[in-house]
Amino acid sequence: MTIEQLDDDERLHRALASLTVEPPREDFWATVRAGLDSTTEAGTGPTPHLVEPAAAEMTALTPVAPAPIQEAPGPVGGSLPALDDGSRSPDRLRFLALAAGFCLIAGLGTFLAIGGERPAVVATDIDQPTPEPVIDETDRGAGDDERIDGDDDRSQSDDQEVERGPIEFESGESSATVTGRIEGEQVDVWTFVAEAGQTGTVELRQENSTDLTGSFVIWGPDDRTVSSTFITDDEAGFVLPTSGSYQLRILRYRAGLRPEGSFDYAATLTIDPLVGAGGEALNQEAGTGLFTIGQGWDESYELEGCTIDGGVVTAGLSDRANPEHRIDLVDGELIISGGPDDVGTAEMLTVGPIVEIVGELETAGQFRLVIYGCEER
Amino acid sequence: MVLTETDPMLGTGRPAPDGADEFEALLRLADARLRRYARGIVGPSSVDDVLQDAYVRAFRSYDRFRGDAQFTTWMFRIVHNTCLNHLRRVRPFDELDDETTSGADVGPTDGVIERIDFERAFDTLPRPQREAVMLVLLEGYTYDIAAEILGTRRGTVASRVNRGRKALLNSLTQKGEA
Repeated sequence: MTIEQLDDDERLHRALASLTVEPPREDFWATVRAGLDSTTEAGTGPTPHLVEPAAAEMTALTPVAPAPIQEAPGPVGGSLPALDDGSRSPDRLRFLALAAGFCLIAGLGTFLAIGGERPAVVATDIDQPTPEPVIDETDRGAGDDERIDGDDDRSQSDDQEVERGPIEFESGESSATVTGRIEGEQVDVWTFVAEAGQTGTVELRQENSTDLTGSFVIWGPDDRTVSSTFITDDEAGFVLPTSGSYQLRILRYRAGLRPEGSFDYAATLTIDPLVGAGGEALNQEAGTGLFTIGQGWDESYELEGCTIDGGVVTAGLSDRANPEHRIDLVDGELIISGGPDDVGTAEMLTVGPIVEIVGELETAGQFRLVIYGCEER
Repeated sequence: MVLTETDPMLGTGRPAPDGADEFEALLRLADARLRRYARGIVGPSSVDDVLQDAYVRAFRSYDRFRGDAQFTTWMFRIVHNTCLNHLRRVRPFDELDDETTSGADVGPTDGVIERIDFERAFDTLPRPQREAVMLVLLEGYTYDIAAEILGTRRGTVASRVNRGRKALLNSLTQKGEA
């Protein structure tokens, strides 16, 4: 193999994989373990759970032996993995040998410096400004977002987006299912329009998958992630931050390195109708959505048009600002009370606590009031 | 212990840590990749501290991980945010690390290239470009997923990858021609 035969991205991949990374300190894992143990003792660790049915089902489709568990070895740099090889175990000798052959053939001897003997980079080498905020509005409007300069870009700038059109909901229905097939780096883009404050969920099912890499991302009107397969704030789903057109994007995870995969999917999007402040149901047909708390500490809202029939009621606050709040749903009346005395109404409004109501009103027998942070009644 | 990952790198499926033992085992599987990413953001001297913090945070919030997909991707996001928090603590008054601060659009200069190797060229990139390059060109994430991890837009990631890619290729080429 000559260097000419390596495309630019593979060269970069190899070079990046060769970056020097020091092994963990001797006490690294002991310290981590102490942190985990203290978390467990404090009762703030994860709740033991079984594998979720969806995950188990996906696993059953294409069983793959889990990667062996091993100690994190020496410097991470120096591996020469196949592009889809996730292990990338450090093997500096192997890397040096391959790198040497690689460069000799190409007549690029100085390329040996990659992965060769050199001191670890010191912190001062990374002399970059302070990071932008995690949600960096300063990053927006900088004019660089669309300046991709992609003439010679052979990486993933040309994800194959397929406009699948709007997701159509049947009259009176808050859920709709779309289906399709994803090949390679294809990204199916479905659209839907929603109002600020509406809640929703996405259930993505996949079949005939070659690599179990289906995932979804919901982009807001400003192209920011609202929800995805990977990140979620709560089981109740997502809250749409603004009014406008959203995208439900279906894609293959790590498609850039595994371009040959494919899967069929069925994605069910549920967008809950809004329920207005004061308990007035804006949509009586399927009354799930948001309920905004008004001023005052002890308030009660009558949920007009709502029936509670054998449902499960849980309580809490979505922003976790005031977990001491007690919320009772009695005879169709939502009663909010309690909370620390030193937190006033103004702060309540500032943090914008929202009571989320997830379930069915009138049209279904079960009603779930999901307000995070408190125990199930 | 039950591990449900079907991806060799802890890909699909929710891991099922019944406690610290299992969670630590999962972390050890992902540690090499996360370590390399953290090194790319905060530098080698702070990697251990950042990762220790990130791992414990992840353990505490594991219940919030829905888990129908990649554990490692979730961990990347946690490590990423922990790195940013670390940088804010150690350099709170620096300017924002935008795309124009280090002239990386055109790559390191010839004079610099003569005395640096690829690693140094990488460290010369603005941090956002390093992040995007690591996630897309090394880890193989799509722009969509990388944008999700970084908390920014797809187009922004694409732009950063292209800039970083050009600069790094420039360093490789010049080194090869030297």
